[in-house]
Amino acid sequence: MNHLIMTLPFILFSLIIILLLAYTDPRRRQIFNKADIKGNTKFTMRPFTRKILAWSLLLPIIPLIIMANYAGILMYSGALTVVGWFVSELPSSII
Amino acid sequence: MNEKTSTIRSKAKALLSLHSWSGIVLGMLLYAVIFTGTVAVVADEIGEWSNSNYPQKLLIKTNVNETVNRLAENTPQEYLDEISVYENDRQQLVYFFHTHKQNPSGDMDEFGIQYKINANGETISQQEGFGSDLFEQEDTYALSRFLVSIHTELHIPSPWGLILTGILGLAMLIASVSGFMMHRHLFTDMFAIRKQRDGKSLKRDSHTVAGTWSIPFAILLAFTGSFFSFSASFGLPAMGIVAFGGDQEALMYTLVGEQQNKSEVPMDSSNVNLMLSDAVKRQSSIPSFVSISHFGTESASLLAFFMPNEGKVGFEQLVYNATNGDFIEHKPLVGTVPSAGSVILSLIYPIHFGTFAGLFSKIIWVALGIAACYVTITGLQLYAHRNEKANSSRWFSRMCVWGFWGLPLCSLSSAFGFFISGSLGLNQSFWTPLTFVIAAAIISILTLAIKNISLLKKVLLVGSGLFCLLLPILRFTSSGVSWLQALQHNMVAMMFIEFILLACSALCFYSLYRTLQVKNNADITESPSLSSQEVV
Repeated sequence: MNHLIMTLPFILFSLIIILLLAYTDPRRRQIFNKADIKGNTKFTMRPFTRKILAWSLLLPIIPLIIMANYAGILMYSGALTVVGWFVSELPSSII
Repeated sequence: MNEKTSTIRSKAKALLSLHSWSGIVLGMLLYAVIFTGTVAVVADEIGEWSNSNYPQKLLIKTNVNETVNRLAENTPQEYLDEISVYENDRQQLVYFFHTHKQNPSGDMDEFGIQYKINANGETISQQEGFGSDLFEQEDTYALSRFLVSIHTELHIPSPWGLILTGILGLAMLIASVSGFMMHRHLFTDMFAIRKQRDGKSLKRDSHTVAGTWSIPFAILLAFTGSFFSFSASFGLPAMGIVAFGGDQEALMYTLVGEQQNKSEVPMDSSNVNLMLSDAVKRQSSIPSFVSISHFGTESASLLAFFMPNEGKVGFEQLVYNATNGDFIEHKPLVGTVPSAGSVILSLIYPIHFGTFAGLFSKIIWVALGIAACYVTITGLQLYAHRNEKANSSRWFSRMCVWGFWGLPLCSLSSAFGFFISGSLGLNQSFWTPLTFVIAAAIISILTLAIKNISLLKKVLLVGSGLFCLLLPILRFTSSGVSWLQALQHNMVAMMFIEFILLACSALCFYSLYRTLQVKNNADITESPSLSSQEVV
């Protein structure tokens, strides 16, 4: 059970990062602006910062390898792709 | 420069054709395999739910040693060749005393006597026959076995079903790889889904975004699925012919890693309970099944098979010398010595079905399956949407509704058939698939009879929503196990399936409500357009 609990914080971490990436995504914002959908456009990020954030999604794999939690690596990778898809599908009123 | 651009364009066009045709030609069958694959991830939970059961850990709580010795005395000597023991979903331990021989189909099979023993050690039933026949007639697994069988073989006779699912896996692999290669703005468009005028997501964007996120696991699952299908239907028989001159027995002995020449000199076997306790202590979990070979001889051995636990992904097999009870080794899945091939093979099943970390990993794998279903649905809808103007009958859109909404309804109907036939004391293994076929026939007639595609979709949505809502009630009336009892006995699997059913029911009715709302809004503002109203 421990290895499952150890994976959850990393999944939550990926959720936060993906939410940030989606929120500051220029292409997503461009589409919403075109469609006259009003959202918060004050918070922006430089492309370099966004790249660092995207790469940080790979960081949890390091502690999971150290802990020999291979099931955790698979679960984290699977959850990452599912979370990414769910966040992308969220309406502009939310993110 | 122009030449370079035209080359890139022609390559992109070729990839698009490859992507489209691999999806369109086999798309509906692929959807069937992916949808039932998503259900198959929770097949064990469906088995427990359909029997209102929870694992009793009978392998360690009952006196297995006493039962094995008692049954062995009354069983023909030839069936003591191998004894497999596992707990079924009806709170019984199944003891299968068997030997190996060719079945009427010409395949190597287990043949012997199967005993079902309850928690008090009483014999509930006793049957003699081939292992494959006994499993097919086993009502306990009628529902879960039927749903898994659609996924693995589409209920097409062997080996053709396996070959077809293998080809479908390859089609998924082609679609995934070509989709990845042809998308020029894969990362920049990861969060971008444009909206239509009616507020619905643009199908092309929904397809590409879901596809982009699912690519890594679509490739992984397609590859492992194809491997399963082709290894069983083609790989193993071919290996048997090439490396063992067609000797299936020699092939199995090599793969299983057992010596061919065993001593049959009688010798008392050690206490099975002690070996099981030791295995449980070593793995910190209960074995899925136990296999005792050459019981009562000086070659006797015991193998305890464990599902992955403690952060590992592959299966574990512990082998004991059953004459003195000594632990021998952690046995590789293939062969007698650890190898890369054995490690890879032991990883493929858990990775394909997500069974490596209990319910937690299964939930993630179900979500991955839903994403893959969504990609298939939106891909085919995209094709239907683009071609419907050219085709007045819109048969492809109709087929999409029939398949996408009909298959879940048919699967739910098979669960209805399982419970009702069980309550009436009928053969559940017969009625479960038959109910599926009856539901499929009714849905097909409805698809042909109802001209309005939107209405057809609503009818199927209402049907699915109602069935999802009624199944927990039906399960309760047939077994009498309430949610309160389920909570008291920690019946997690059963509660999980009921929660999923109720959530799906809510989703169906919400989707119906949204469809009606959109229609009303469209009626008020303008006359409905073909794209927003008629296409699923």
